[in-house]
Amino acid sequence: MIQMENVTYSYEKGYGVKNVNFTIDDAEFAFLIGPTGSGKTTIMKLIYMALFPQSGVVTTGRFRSDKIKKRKIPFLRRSVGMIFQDYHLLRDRNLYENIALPLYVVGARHSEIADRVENMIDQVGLVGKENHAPDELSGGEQQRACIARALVKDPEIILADEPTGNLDPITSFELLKLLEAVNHEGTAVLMASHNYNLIKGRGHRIMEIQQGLLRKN
Amino acid sequence: MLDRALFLFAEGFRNLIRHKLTVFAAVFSVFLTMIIIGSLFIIGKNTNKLIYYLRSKYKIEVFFEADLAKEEALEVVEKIESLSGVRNTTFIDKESATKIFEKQFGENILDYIQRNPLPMSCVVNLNRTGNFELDIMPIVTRIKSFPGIDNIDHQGKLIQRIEAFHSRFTKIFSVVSFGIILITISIILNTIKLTIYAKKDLVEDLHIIGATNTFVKVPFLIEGILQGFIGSLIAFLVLAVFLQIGNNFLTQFSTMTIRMDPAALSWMLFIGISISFIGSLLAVTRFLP
Repeated sequence: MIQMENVTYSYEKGYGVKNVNFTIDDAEFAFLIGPTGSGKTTIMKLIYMALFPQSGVVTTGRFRSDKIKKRKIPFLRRSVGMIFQDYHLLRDRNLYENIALPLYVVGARHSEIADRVENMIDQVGLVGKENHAPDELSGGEQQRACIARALVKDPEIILADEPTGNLDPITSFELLKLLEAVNHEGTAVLMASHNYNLIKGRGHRIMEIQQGLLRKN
Repeated sequence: MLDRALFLFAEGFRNLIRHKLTVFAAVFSVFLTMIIIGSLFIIGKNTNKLIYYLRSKYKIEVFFEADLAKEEALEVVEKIESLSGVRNTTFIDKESATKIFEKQFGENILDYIQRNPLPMSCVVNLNRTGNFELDIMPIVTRIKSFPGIDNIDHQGKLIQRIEAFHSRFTKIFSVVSFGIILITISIILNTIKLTIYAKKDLVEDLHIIGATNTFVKVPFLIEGILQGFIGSLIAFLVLAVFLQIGNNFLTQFSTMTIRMDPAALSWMLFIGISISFIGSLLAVTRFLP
């Protein structure tokens, strides 16, 4: 579960978010829509606690922003899978190593890592590309690799920040369907996007944010 | 847990391969440092041996007045032997002096002069061991104060010069080594800093996926330790080879050889790894968020 209660965060050079309130239940799929600079990424960062609200409280799973200790933040992030517009894949290692990295972080056994990574590569349709460097993959493939990396550690929540921003419409749609499949398995998904055409009519909740204010929920 | 430790070690090892240029700079710095410190240490050790040898040869020769009775001279010798810093004494009476003269010059002095002109004397041997400067002047002053002493021969000035040189060398060795170690730590710190900047994306991603600070920092520390290990090992091998060549050359015209401490590899690795570890630790503490 994600909960924002009267959350405000402002940057030195401009607004971030103002008095934001919403709740995303377990296994819910929600969209966060708004133009560039409206505060979508700020909300994402507040959820995985890269930022802390200046007022209000953010709750992500069992962690509250007003109570969490710094050393506990890694444990919060292990329950959240992050997907970014610019993929954030590591250029100096191949697809397999990129996907395996979160499992080494959580201390999984080597044999378990191999099974789970191979399974995940199969799920996102990248079998045969294990040894490819990120630069040798297309944009859609890189984003699928990014999803695999987010999912491999069995997160409770997926935060997707403009995941289709660099993709063509067909690949974007395929990616959205992949996220919906993940959601059907019981993982909550919050996807930020500025592409209304892509998300309309999908039967999920849409939250609209403009200039840091949540307009529609 | 073991898999995670292996992963972190492998990451540190891979960093060596991934950042060849910065790693080369760091390894080369450790190598140069250990060559300089190693050389100074070898020189220091061998100089120490020479000093101990010279100390073992230090002696004072005391000559008694011609009209002093043998019993009186023996009383003075007893007093000299009880002085602090004196190991033992050898009393040489007039007859023994004649024999020594004959041994040295091949002729008996009494064949030329009717009375024995050689004075009674005493050789004073000093305490030989110990890693401390030997200052014989207080002993000489005390002996001079005893009655019946005519003359004292000693190498006080020479000893003082050798000891002063040795002491100066030890101080310079310490200051130079300390300075070089500081410079190397700073070089390692900067190379690890560059590595951290080069791996900014990795560090950020590791934090995002839930890595603890320790997990992020350990590969950089391992990288630093490996740099120290490689640099010191190469330095040791190079020094050993040069020493062998130098000794082969020396033995052609001297019995003297320069020796390397048998534990040199251990302490060189220890110093090299410690320097790199401190440099890396400072870098990760200062430059990793």
